[in-house]
Amino acid sequence: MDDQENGAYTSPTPGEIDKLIHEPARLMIVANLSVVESADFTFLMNRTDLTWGNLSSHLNKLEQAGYVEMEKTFVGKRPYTLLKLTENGRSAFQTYREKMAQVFNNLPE
Amino acid sequence: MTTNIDLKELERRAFKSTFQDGIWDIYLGLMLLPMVIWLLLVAHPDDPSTAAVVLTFGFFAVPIFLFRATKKYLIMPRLGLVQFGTARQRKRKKLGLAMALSVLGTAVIVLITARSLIPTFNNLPDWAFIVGLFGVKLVIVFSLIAYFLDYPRAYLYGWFYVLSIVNLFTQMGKGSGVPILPVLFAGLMIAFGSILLIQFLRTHPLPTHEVSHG
Repeated sequence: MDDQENGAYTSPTPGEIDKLIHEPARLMIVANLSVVESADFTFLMNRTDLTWGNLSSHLNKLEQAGYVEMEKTFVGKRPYTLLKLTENGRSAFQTYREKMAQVFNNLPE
Repeated sequence: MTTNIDLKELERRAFKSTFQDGIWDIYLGLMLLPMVIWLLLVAHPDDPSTAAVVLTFGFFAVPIFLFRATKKYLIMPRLGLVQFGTARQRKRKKLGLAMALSVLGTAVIVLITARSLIPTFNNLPDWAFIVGLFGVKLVIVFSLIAYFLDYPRAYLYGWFYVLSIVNLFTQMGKGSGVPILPVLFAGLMIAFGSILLIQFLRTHPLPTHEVSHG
């Protein structure tokens, strides 16, 4: 019998929540990238409603953490930068979702 | 903050956002019009000129050219690039296979027509059988497009095409006159697509910054 079944279910501590993903704008970016293979800067701007500066700044943080990688490509003669979640980023997002579900599931009615 | 991020809904919305520009509606509407031109220039005259045949095929090329140009120069810079996951890619492959089978189906129908293998029914003209076959094929094709591409308007557009073809053949039987339904349905599809396109252009201005991050 696990902890959840015998009522000894514990919430994760604040330190266990990934604060890099927890920030709302970055959460939107990561969530949107998690449902596609890859997307470029313009598509992400449209989906998240973030400004160019904000999106760029948050993507830099996610890239530095190893959650997002960038791939340069060409469509015709036009260069595009495709952004995608790394395996590390997908795993971190999955863990974040599980931890947050635990937090909310453990709240009293 | 909600406890649950609905990723399936998020993915569906992201995918559908690539269809909200209206150019598919305009394209499908424009593809109906050359059929009318074909009727007037090629089917009605007893001896249509080669120029009329070439001109008619030229009209079929216009929507294709417009679609590609609009997508490339108007939509893509505003919408951005996206590659969807494996589930969507599988759906696209299935749709591709269905389209290939559809082309095969068309070839069979043409063969039946050319070989005069049309079964005869009481009081029904020969073309009714051909229209029936084309109609079933069109409904199936448009339904598959609607299902695989999350594009529910295609169900309706399938019936627009079927009714238009019935109208075309009826007019052919009469030997004169302009078929109303294809023009009406094309107008509806183009008008709806144009509204969507204008909305899209308003909500998706051209990015003012260099978008190639990094």
